Formats: sequence, structure tokens, C-alpha cells
Amino acid sequence: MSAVVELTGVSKWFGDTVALSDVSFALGAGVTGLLGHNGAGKSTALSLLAGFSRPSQGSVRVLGVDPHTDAGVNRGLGVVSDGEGTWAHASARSQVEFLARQRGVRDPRAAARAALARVGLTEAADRRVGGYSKGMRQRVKLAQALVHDPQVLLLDEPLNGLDPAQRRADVDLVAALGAEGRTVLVSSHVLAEVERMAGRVLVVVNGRLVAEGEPAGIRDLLVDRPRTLRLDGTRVAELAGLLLAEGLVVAVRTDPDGRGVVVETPRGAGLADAVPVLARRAGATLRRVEPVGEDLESTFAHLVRAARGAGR
Amino acid sequence: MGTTLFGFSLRGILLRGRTAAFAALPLLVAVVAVVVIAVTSVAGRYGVQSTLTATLLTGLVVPIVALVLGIGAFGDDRDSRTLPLLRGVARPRWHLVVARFTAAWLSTFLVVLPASLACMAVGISINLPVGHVVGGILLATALTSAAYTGVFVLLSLVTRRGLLAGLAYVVLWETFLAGLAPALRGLSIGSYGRRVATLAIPGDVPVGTVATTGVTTSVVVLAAVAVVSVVLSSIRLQRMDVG
Repeated sequence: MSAVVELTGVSKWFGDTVALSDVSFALGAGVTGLLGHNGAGKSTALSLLAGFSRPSQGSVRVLGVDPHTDAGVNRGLGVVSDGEGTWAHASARSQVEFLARQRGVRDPRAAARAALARVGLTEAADRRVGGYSKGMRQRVKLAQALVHDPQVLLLDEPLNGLDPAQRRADVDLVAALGAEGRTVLVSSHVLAEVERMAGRVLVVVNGRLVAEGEPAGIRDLLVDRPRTLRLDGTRVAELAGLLLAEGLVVAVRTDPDGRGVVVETPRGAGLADAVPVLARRAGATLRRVEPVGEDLESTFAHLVRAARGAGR
Repeated sequence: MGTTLFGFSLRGILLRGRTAAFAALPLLVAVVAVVVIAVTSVAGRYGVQSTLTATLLTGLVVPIVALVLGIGAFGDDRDSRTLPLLRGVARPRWHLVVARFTAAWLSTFLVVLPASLACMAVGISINLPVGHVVGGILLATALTSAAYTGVFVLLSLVTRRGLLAGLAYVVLWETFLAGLAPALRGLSIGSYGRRVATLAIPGDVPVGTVATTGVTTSVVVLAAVAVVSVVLSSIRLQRMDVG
């Protein structure tokens, strides 16, 4: 794989705050997901790759050049940043056409028309963007990034603000862009979305790259870990007893709110396979199986520990 | 033109609501001028013409309009997070700065034009040479606008609180502190602007704080302030983090 996008030993800090710490990765053609919780450093990494900021340490190369100093890189680079990112006073068509012209496209008008059609904004293209919904503005940003047919695309949470139908359409669009041979880096904090777009995932936690690999492998890392689950339904105490006897859980207690039982398991994946089988054996009917005290932070903290253990 | 750097920048400035709002300020000066011509004698208009041109036009209207439009040149892009989009064009950064500066300067000049025309009308009504009045006021307005706009464009790239900093500069420095000592006038854009404006004002009428330099030097200083500001803005845009 020849690297089109490359971060080598990159750190970025703002005063006392370390946003990225010694991050290295290289990307070739295809879609790569950048997964992490809010504040993990995803936007900082994308901002460095887009040339919007300089690394405090390390080097960034995109299409063989430093994107911060070489404006020519923008002929082959398309970016959707987080935040607003559209000119409210202008129509979608005029701002997309403006950017096409400024990035050296030979026929900016035709390119703008094609980009707007690709994101489904043809009919609204001549209205002022200030009157658009958030989802429509998000699509304008995608059109801005696509209009010059770039080889590299950096998309920071491109699905934010979209309704479910639009999300599905844009997931398909991003996957198609990767299939066309472009290098696409797309950030998200939702693994399920990344899985549908990307063939490879990078996981960033607290400014550090803690895991990388295929989405299925990352999912296993996320699921197959110590978890606390609440089992709610009939005969759940009997089910919990069977789980305990099989060694799948290490502790069982009654839920303090009277909603079934709470079990603790050292490996979530094994439990997920066993529960349906043992529930039938116990004659239990499950209304709900839900994690207790889990959030993204704790999930990613587990990844950090797993990465340390595996030496990444 | 709408999709050129300059055209897109100009449309952005002219379509802003606050541009229209601040256009009322020069119109107010124009109304005052019309009233003055209507109700005062020719002799009585001498002092008024000086006040309108030196104090109101060059000392208040131009810096305030240049402040609002100059800060908006990049300040609005910082607020709406479109500055990364501008940085993401395949052109040298100084092209962006020159386009934004020129658009803000031209807009300032156009917005203050009613006040400029009103000052010319009062000057002509008191039988001053038409060439001096028109040339002096146009030159003073154009150069003072350029210098102020350049400084405020730079300020918009240096701080997110450009409007507040610029307002403090105009109110405290230009209208108050610079008048305290002759040495300080050398650091006041307004004093050079008023020196140029003296071309259009009767020689025996006081015009407030003016630079101690001649008109030619004042012209050079104002142009130099604009050029240096554009150069510094280009360097700043090249080096700053926008993400």
C-alpha cells in the first residue's frame, strides 16, 4: 500500500492540553474510519491532515507534501470540517462553484452542478444557504469537498445533523467514494456507522492511537471485555444461576430497583452467545438485557488497557 | 465575477445586514449637509464644512465603517468556520488577503460616499475650487479608508475580539490620546487623513488634530500603512492555525 496520507510521530498540544500524542499512521486508497469519543483528538488529527494547523511535533504529509505550507495540495484534497463551514449569504451553487474555481477546476459550473447532484441538492441549489436545515448545510459541505474530484477526502463527522434516510444515503456515498479508489478518512463516534463505510478503523482515545484494524476486530475488542449487565424478565434468577454455574459470570446480585438481576462477566462475547441457549433451558423470558454503568469513555478506556496489554 | 475571490468577498460584505445598518451613518452626515446648505449663509458654512469633512467624515464615519467592514473581512469567516474553506483553496494566501482587503476597502469607500459627496457639496457651495474640494475629499476618503481597513483586516486575523479592540483603538487612540501631544499624531491614521483633507478645507479654518507632515508625506504614510497591513495579514494567514 503506497501512503497517500501519512502522520509520523505527530503530537499537538494547546498550552497545557495535549490533543494528540505521538500518533503515526499511513493511509492508502479506500475508506478508513477514525473512531473515538468527543474530545479524543479526531478533529485535531483531521485538522492537521487538512493543513489547517501545524503539528507541535512530528510530520504530516498528504499527497507527498506538507499540507500546511503547500496550498497546491488543495487541488487533490477535499475536507468536511466540523462546525458550520458554509457561507450563509451565498447559495449552495455559488459557493460550491466558487470553491471549484479556486481549486483550479477547468469547468467550475459543471463541476458544481455534478457535486450538488451527487449530494441531492440540485433543487435547492439556488437558495441562500442561510435558510437551509442543518442536514442540508451538511450536504453543502460534502458538495464543497467533492466538487474538485479530489483524490483524498477528510470527513469530520459528516453524518452529524442528518436524518436517518440521509445518513443511509451518505454512508453509501462515502463507501462509494472509497470504492472509486480515493483515500477517505472519516471520523465518527459511532462504530456501527463506521463499520458500514470503512474497511479499516483507527481508534483514538485521549489523543493516542490505541487500536487499528478491520471493523470486525475492533468490534470484538469493544464487546469481548468485562461487562456488567442487567437481565430483566421472568425467571431471570434461574438464568443467572445457570450462567454462574457455567462460569460465564462471576457475580450475581438483585437489581436495587427491582428490575431483574445484575450480572458481572469477564468476557462479554461469550455471554452474548450463551444467554439465549441458557434462557431456554431455565424457562426464562427476557424483556431486556442492558449494560449497567457503561459509557463511551469506559469502553474506550478498556481499549486503552487492551492496547497496552497487546503492545499494539 | 461572483465566483472570483474578489467578487465573492465583495458580495459577502455588501449582502451583510450590518453593512446596510452602518450605511445610515454617512447618510446622516449627508442629511446634516443638506440642512446646513439650506439654512445657513455662505459665511456660516466655512466652519461647518471643516467640521463635516475633518471631524465627522475623516475622523468618525470612515474609521467606524472601515472597522465594521474590515473586521468582517475575515472575522465573519472565523465565526462561521469558513476560514478553513478559504485556506483550503489552491492559491497563495496573499491572494486571499488582497481580495478580502480590496473588497472591504471598496465597500467602505462606497458606503461613506454619500457623506463624501455631502462634504463636497458644502465645499462647492462656499465657492472653494471644485478640483481641490472633489480631489481632496476623494483622496482623503480613499486613503484613510485604505489605511483603516488594512489595520482592521489584520486585527481580524490576530484576535477573535477584533471589533472590540478596533473600537477601543478608534475611540481611545484616534479621537482622544492622539490629540494630546504632537508626537502622538505621528501614530494616528486620522491625523494623516485630516492632513490630506485640508486640500478641501479653507486654509484659515481649524481642522482638529492633524499630522505635522505635508500632504504628500501623509499620502505616502497612509498608503504604506495599508500595504504593510496587507503584507502582515498575509504572513499571519499563512502561519495561523485555522482548524
